[in-house]
Amino acid sequence: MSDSTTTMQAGEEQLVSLLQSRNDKGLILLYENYSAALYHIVLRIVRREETAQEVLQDTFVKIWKQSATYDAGKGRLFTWMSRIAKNTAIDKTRSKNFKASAKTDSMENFVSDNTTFSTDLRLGDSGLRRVVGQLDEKYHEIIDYLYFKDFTQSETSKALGIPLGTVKSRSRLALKALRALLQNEQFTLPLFFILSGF
Amino acid sequence: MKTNEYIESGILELYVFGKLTPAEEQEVVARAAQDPAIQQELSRIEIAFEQYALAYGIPPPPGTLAGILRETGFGSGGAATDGVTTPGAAPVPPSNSGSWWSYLFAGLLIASAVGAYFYNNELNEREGELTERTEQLATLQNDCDEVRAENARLESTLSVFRNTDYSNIKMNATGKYEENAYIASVFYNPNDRTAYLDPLSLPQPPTGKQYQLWAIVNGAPVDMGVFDTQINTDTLLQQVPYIAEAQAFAVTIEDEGGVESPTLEEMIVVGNVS
Repeated sequence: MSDSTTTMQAGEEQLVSLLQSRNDKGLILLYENYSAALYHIVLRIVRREETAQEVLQDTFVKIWKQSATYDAGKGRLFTWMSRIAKNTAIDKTRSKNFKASAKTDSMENFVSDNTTFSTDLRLGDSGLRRVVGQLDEKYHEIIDYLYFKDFTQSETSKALGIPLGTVKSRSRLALKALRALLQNEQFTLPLFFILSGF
Repeated sequence: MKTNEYIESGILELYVFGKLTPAEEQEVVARAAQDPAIQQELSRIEIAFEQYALAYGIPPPPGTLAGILRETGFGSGGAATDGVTTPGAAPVPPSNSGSWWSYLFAGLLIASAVGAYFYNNELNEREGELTERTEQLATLQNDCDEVRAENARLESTLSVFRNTDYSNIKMNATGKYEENAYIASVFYNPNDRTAYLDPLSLPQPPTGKQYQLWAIVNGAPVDMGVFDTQINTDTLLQQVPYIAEAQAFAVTIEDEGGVESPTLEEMIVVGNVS
């Protein structure tokens, strides 16, 4: 675990220094690696592809402009970026334009909010998804409600019919189970690349 | 809270999900800055969640990158790369041709890789077991806490039942509800001036309605408040106001929030203080 953590952190430091030195390679690399994950977060909140694209663009522009304020001591780059994405999307849903057009739009233009991970999302990284997909359904559910649906702890507790305290403890168990799945896979992937090289 | 309890509480996960209050967030940041164990746990959680988010990424529509580059002043420069590359793909090294030592080298590498693979599988299995045990322990601890809290509530209920200072005033179904044989009880203690209500077999009130409890003092009803009947171990007994000199107790079905004087035809149970 600690080896791969170090590798990931080294990669991230390089990316941050590219960004902070205003190198457009940094921006493109950032987009290639994270746009799909951030787009999913944004789409779940604004629920319309056209608006989501606009919000994603605004998000990357903000990330680019504010990259000097990113502090690695306070958390990872992705955590920081996903907060910017989420806030930009939430701001958008509060704007007058959004509310007005949401009223006149027919429902078919919306991405269904009932999408669950087990079904038909278009996939960014299918190998990773195969691993992560083994996670117990109740753990998918808690992450989905708290993070992607952006429910509060008490809304989540009501929606899932579980005590408030369980929301917290289940979040912990979900991430633990997720980490165990990811950890089990880590050695086999690089090995596959070594063998396929011959 | 000790480092380990703090980590196991799940607060770091909620931090990563952005579900904490600003004060709680500050606490997490401050504790992580002081305590390397918390810092390390936090970044492991972040990495795992990052992988999760990457796994479920949805590629944005083509043209998005071009728009971003335009707005950041890089013009048309990188537009061609939009949406084409696959993140995470490793370059494949060129294949080696020919010489015998390269086959030997390849063989040795494969052999050591296979050895490492089996060793690592074994290690992963053990670690998997350990994680599973830790999870089971956390779940059991959780159950244990819940049972303990429930037990404390039941014990305090039992102390009312066993206290001979309380008289149990049983209320029986009355009027149009008589044939349903509903019962409820008031536990009434003049010595320390306390009273409890046990809704026993009262059904769920109709939508928009609530039960209201009354004491009858010298022939006049005195309001003792409204209550719900969702009976679970938290509300086996509900404490109600103590009304001195009560001669009888009754429950009526009223509009939500209660009324000033009881609707007599909606009286469901009544019982006299003997």
